[in-house]
Amino acid sequence: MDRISQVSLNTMRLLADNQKITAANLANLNTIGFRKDVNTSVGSAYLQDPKAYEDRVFASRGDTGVDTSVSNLISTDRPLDIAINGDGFFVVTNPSGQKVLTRRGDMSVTAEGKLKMGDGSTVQGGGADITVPPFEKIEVAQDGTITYKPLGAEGNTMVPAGRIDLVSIPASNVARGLDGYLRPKNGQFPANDAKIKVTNNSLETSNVNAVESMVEIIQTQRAYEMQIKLIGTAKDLDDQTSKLMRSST
Amino acid sequence: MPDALNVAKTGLNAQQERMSVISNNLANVNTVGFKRDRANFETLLYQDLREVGAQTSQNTQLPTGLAIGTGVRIVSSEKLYSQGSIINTDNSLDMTIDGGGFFQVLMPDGQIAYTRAGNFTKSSTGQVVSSNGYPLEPAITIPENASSVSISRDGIVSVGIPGQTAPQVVGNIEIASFPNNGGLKPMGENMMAATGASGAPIVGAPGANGQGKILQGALEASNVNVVEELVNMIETQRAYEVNSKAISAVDSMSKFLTQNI
Repeated sequence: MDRISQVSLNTMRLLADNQKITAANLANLNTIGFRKDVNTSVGSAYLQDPKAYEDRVFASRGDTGVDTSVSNLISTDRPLDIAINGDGFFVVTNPSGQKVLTRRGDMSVTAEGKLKMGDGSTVQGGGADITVPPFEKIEVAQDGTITYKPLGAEGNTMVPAGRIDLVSIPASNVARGLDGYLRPKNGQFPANDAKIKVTNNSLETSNVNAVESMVEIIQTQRAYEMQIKLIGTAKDLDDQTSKLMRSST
Repeated sequence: MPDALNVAKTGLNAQQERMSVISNNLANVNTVGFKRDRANFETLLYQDLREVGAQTSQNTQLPTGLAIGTGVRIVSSEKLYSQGSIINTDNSLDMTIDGGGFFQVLMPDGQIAYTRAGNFTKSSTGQVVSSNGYPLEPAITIPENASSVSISRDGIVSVGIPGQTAPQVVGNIEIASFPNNGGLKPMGENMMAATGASGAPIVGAPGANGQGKILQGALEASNVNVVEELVNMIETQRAYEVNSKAISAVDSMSKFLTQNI
């Protein structure tokens, strides 16, 4: 009895996971600031049997990563919509209060005056929540500084409310947590990077490329079918063997 | 395998909901004082297949885990309160708020609702009411014999009475603004209700304390930008198509499996 089918089965499981990752990427095609999950990293595992020839190499899962490449900006004409120009991340706290990274910049002001992103995370400035009192006008400068004109203030004086924390972290150090937020792999949030520029009145789209993901889906589909064919071949081989045994008696 | 089907299904659902938000915006392209909605997407929770920091040997640990996404959902639909363009109507009770703030209207259940739609009219008793007949708050009654109504930039309503030289002041319009406009709850009929998320209304005279000013004889058009909505519609349609493609690919994988083994 050959074990071809086990090797194939293992690969099929990996391919099914890959298909799921691609489907999740496609589902987030319109999520503002979404960073694509990468599923290409597949390693191989050898069976360590000193007496046997290593003829079976199992596919095994490598690390999944996040594609941090920059996506397109769409103009929205809303002063609280911001996007990072080039590399870098906003530092926000997720709903459970942990510091995380994000690329989405669709801010709004809560009743308590806190700035929140569209997914409910709170914008951080200088390591604390940014708070703005009721305002008539609000603006975000290129370096992430938020200024506002208080409700009822005379003249055109803009009061600063804080500067959004912006950090640059290399792509290799970014991983996704189970809550969907990005975090630095080593848990260290670097100091603010003054070089990061923010564009206001615009949002950054998801960096999922629909065509690329479609090709991935078709590729995975065909690879999956190939594995099924292999299992079929293994079945034929076994059939032939047992037929041979029968005729020789 | 059905996992990937469910993930793609969340994509289809979210795109479909976004499409209904866009359709609603387009349907209200001519609604006075309408503010367009935007659907906010959010990733669903991730599923852990290999824990970060798990031991890969006695001395080494997995530097990253394997987390697989489970799709997307619409987290909120948010109203965007940019100013709509102003249309002159020369109707004396048509008003536009130039700037921030809302008109206050007394609903039949005794609650105050907030609206940007300034197409007010007179009731049978001469009271200023919204197009649905709900009275403006604070109540203003135009005398029967008034020949003209004028509303100042700061909300003072005065009427001209035949035979009198000086105009007679009949009331003041007040405007309410909120710390978080996005937290207002749309109730239909162009009305918004205050919620815990919007904060308490800050009521004041138009033009004072940063409230918007009143323009008489003009209406605020809907702030829906048709071209933008159409672009969003195409984007949504394509996203829907690729998600359904993912479903059909997973489906044919399962089909191939059942047919060939």
